[in-house]
Amino acid sequence: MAVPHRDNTNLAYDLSRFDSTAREQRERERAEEEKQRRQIRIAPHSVSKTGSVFKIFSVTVVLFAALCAVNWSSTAKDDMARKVTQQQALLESAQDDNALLQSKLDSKVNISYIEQYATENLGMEKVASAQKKYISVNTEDLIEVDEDASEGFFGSIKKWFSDTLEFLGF
Amino acid sequence: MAKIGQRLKKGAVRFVNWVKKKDAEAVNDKGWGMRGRQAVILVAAVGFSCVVGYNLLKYTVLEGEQWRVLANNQQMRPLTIKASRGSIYDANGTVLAQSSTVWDVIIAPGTIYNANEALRDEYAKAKDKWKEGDEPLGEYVDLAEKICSELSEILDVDKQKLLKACEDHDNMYYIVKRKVEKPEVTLITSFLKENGISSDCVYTQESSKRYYPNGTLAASILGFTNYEGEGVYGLEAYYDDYLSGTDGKAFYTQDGSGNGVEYANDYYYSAVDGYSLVLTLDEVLQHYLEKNLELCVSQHEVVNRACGIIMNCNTGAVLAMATSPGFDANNPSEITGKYDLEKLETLKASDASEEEIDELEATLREKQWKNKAITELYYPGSVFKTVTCASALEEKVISLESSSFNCPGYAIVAGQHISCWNHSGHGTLTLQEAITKSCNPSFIAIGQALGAEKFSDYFEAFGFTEPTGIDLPGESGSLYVPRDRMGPVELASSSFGQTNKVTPIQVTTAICAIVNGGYLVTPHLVDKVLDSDGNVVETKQTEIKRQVISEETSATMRGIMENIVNTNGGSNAYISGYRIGGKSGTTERIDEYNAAGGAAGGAKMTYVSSFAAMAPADDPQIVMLVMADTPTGTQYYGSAVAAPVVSAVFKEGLEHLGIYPTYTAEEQAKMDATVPYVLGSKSMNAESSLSAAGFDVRFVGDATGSATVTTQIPSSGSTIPKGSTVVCYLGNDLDLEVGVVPDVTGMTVSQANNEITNAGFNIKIEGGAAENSSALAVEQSLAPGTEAYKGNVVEVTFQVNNYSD
Repeated sequence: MAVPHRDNTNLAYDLSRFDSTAREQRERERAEEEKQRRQIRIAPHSVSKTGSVFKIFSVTVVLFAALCAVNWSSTAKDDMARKVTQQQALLESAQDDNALLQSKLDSKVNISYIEQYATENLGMEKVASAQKKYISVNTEDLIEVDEDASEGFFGSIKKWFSDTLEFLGF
Repeated sequence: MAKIGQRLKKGAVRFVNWVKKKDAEAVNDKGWGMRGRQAVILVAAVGFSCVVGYNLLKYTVLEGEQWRVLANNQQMRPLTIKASRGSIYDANGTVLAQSSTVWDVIIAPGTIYNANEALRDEYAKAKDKWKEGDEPLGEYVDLAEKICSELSEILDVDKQKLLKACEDHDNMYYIVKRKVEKPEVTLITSFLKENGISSDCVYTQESSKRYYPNGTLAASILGFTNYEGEGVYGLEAYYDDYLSGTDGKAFYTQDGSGNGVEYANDYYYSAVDGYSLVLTLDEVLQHYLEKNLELCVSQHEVVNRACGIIMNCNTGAVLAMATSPGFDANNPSEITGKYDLEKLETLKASDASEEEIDELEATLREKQWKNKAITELYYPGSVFKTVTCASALEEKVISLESSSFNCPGYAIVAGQHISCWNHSGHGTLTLQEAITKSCNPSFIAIGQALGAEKFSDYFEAFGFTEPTGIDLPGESGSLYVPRDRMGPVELASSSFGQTNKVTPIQVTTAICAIVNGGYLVTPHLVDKVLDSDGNVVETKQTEIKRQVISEETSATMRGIMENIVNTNGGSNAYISGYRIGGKSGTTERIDEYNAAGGAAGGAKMTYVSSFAAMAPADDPQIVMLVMADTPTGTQYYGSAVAAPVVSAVFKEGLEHLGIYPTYTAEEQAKMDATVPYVLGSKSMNAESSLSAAGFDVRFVGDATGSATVTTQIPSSGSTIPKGSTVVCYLGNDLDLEVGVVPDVTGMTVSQANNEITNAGFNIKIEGGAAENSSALAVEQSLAPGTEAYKGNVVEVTFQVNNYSD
């Protein structure tokens, strides 16, 4: 009599298919792989892993502060420029007013008006030829300041003090 | 707490299990699962990116330019930077013309109407809501009424006219008043602010206004500007390119409020302010010339205006140029001439239509703006004899020493009878006498000796065939007989200045050439051009066109002209202490006379009086010409009408120019003296002081007692001729003696002296021709018949009134 073949190669006799232990083992392995595959790999040295929240916060604050500073300086520059333009406009307006008022003043004191006022209101007369004497001066205009030579010692000290005070602006 | 904790824990476990379940489903899901949803999202993201990308490409590259333009139009505001118009100064830096900012006031009737309707509705609603105890609402005031009332009060405009303009609701632009100054604009702005009226209803537009601080001074030279600020006459027009400058442009990025954002400008082109002009004109001389021309026009009833020119004969710089009557450059539309106004009034009083009146007004306005010295032609008359004489001397066809002429009172040329002004004739004359007596037959002979060809050559060389080139617009050319049509009669009448019509500036320039060594210079008014910082950008140089005559001939002519003024005791142009040369001219306006029908037509001959002078005669610095067109008073000779103007201007003006009088011993002896102060002095002391000064004294009161002088007439400081009598009153209880001033008009010097002295007054003789034997009194300072204290000074002006003088 032949011994029945027990190598389980016949599918009819693949008892492992009916063996739930191996199946369960395979399913567990598969799930494990799936889980590992889905797991987010975190860099070993990442901040979040190491937990440097303070650093992130600080950098963010600094960058934000820098952005605000740039924005503020541009705004301030614009404001100053606007003020300068306004003042320039005011200056131009004032200069214009000055020119206008100067013209009006000149029209009140022009030569015709002066002559008319002098003769009619003040009763003045022009100087007659006989009242004028012309003198020829052969030298050019010259101003001489007469220095007092005999100041003496105390005079020179006094002069030094007064010159110093004048220099200082008193 | 424990229960809550347990519940939370259960909830967390349930959540985790749900996630696990979802994970497991996702792993096993073969259909529309996570991957599918991922794919959808990916496709959506890619699609969205493509749309965004395409639009970016489209708006920044494909249509980029178009959108950039639209963005710029919205964000960028173009701004015209108005250039300031340059100023005009005289030679001494006095401002003659200057610009300033003003505003045009504009209303928008349509906007006012809409705003009024809105306010009325608001008022009606407020009235409906009003109940007893609330603040009274008051009457509703129509917005247009309110605005028009205020504007008419501030701007002095017709309120009814404004209200009528506001009735046109379709109109959004109505100019209330132009060129409004800042104080009024400030009042309008305050009114709008206080009443909450929008600037869309009433607003201002910036403009500029030209101011001429000296009013009428040099108005015909300066010209004026129109409403747009462009020069339309005179220097304002001629140098408009220099004065107006170049407007700038800027493109500013504007924020939401319309404010400019600095440092975001893309383009900025600065305005280049106009250049300023420094003229050769002297304000003081100009004033003297205008003042005396005005006096001449009024005294001699000059109908067609008078003009004068003062020029530096060596450089061509015009020191003064005037036309009288003039106009106010600040208000050029106002007609000022007396005769023009009379013409206008006559037309208005007649049945003339509005159109005819407007036309006449426009014509008269144009006429008054014209600078007579450069635009109007006249026959130069005897002044031209200097040109004929200089030409003949240069050609050596005549000689000062040897030439002689005969004047029977007329000359016959090609059958034509040409009279001398002296119908009885001058007899035999030397060249000096011929020109001094202004003998026409003598100059006909000189012209014939010169010949038509040479005469035409010199006529052209002296600049009479072309404009002088002065830097003013509207200079006229001359009307003259061309050389190929110069027959003997034309030559004869041209020789004494009665054929060719020239401008006063041409005559002045020719006289300059005669006296300055023979050089024909180009007259000019502008000396320097300055930029807005005061730097000199251009300087006008003396331009000598050519030498017409030699230095020798010029020196001879100077001597001749000086002798004309000094001969026979002096002429009306003579001034003690100065060497002045000159020539008068009296021309018949023969063309107008003939056009009016001549003697047969009952026409009356009219004249042009002129006088040309140079000073000082030994080294001429200035030349002056005065011309009065159609004097209708009692005198019309150049020597009587124009020469006194020259004399008066020189008297005041030469010193201003630094040309001082040098008196001969004879002149010094005849000079007036100043009355010394003798009040409070005893009679003996007073007498000796007065005698030492050269005066006689007459005491009223007891001269032997101890009384002192309480009153002296004339008062101390007065300048009166030596030999005059000073009346001194001794004591207090004396009535001052009164006399009646006699009428000495028309008397000779000695006659006038006797009359005035006998009446108890002192005479002071004025007028350069006082020593001329034919001088007669034309004017006295105290009117005849006036009662005045004896001893007072009566100034009497003597003039000669001859053709030749």
